[in-house]
Amino acid sequence: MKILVVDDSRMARKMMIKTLREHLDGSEEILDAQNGEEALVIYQEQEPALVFLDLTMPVMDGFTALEKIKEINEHARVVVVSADIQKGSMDRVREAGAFDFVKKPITNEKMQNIFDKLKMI
Amino acid sequence: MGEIILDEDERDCLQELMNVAYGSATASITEILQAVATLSIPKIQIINADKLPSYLQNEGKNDVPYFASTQQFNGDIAGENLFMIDKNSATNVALQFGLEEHEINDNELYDIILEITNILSSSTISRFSQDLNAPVNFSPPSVDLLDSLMKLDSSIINTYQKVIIVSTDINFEEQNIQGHFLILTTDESILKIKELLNKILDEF
Repeated sequence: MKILVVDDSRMARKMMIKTLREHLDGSEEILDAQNGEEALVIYQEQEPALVFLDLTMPVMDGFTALEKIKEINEHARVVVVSADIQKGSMDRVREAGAFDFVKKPITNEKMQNIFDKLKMI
Repeated sequence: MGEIILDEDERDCLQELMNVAYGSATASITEILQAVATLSIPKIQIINADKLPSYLQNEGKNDVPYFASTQQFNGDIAGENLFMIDKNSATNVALQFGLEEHEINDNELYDIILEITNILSSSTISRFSQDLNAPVNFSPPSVDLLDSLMKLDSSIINTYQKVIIVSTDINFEEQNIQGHFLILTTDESILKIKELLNKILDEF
């Protein structure tokens, strides 16, 4: 399984990948991108099963990237990870088809909740 | 534009909203750093923008390098968050993140401060704008390393005439980390905030 982590902060990507690895068995391939545009290229080429997506990024923000990923694959599983916790932002990503919205920073507990939800599908 | 002031009720209401908003940000920052942080009670002032460097000089340490990170927000209210942290504190943040001393350089520190700013700024303003019912959009943050706080980018000062300063000190005592977080807004936004505060006050 491939998982794509998208965040403009290298530190945020490292934290996300470190937390992810604690919930995986090691067989998964973790890819990363630093903005929405890069994420789209990687998504089309690699077709990851799961995407963790930041919202506030240069070049292409997470809102736009989410919409474009959903145009490519309407069943794409995208978890938005952001400190922008405005109701309007959360509603917008849910309407665009995000699988989940998680408040930054990601923690083991929050990651476990995501995987629990994924298992229920 | 005439003198912009907040009366006692408006200031009290803003103080309360900021306490809640900073509380949300503190929770996020303690989660990310896995350390106990205290945020001082926010201080609220309206000053002329050209007085900002001397204000900062009084608030911070003199003649030490500072990272000054900003994030703009736009919408019903518009402005800029400014997070300042001295280089020694920033290094301690990096150590708290698990970096070894030999791994720490300016580039690593830039990246860490940007992410801290993003979380601090977005958490605070998201909560504040939601309570005011004034949605905003965020731009990605940017960061500069300054020789001293007096070297703050003049473009910040030139953008604003009056600035409403909502400032707090962030302390991680055991890790020896101190930072300052300020919200700067345009004159129009100060008036909009006054209007929205009064809407809230009218409800009680």
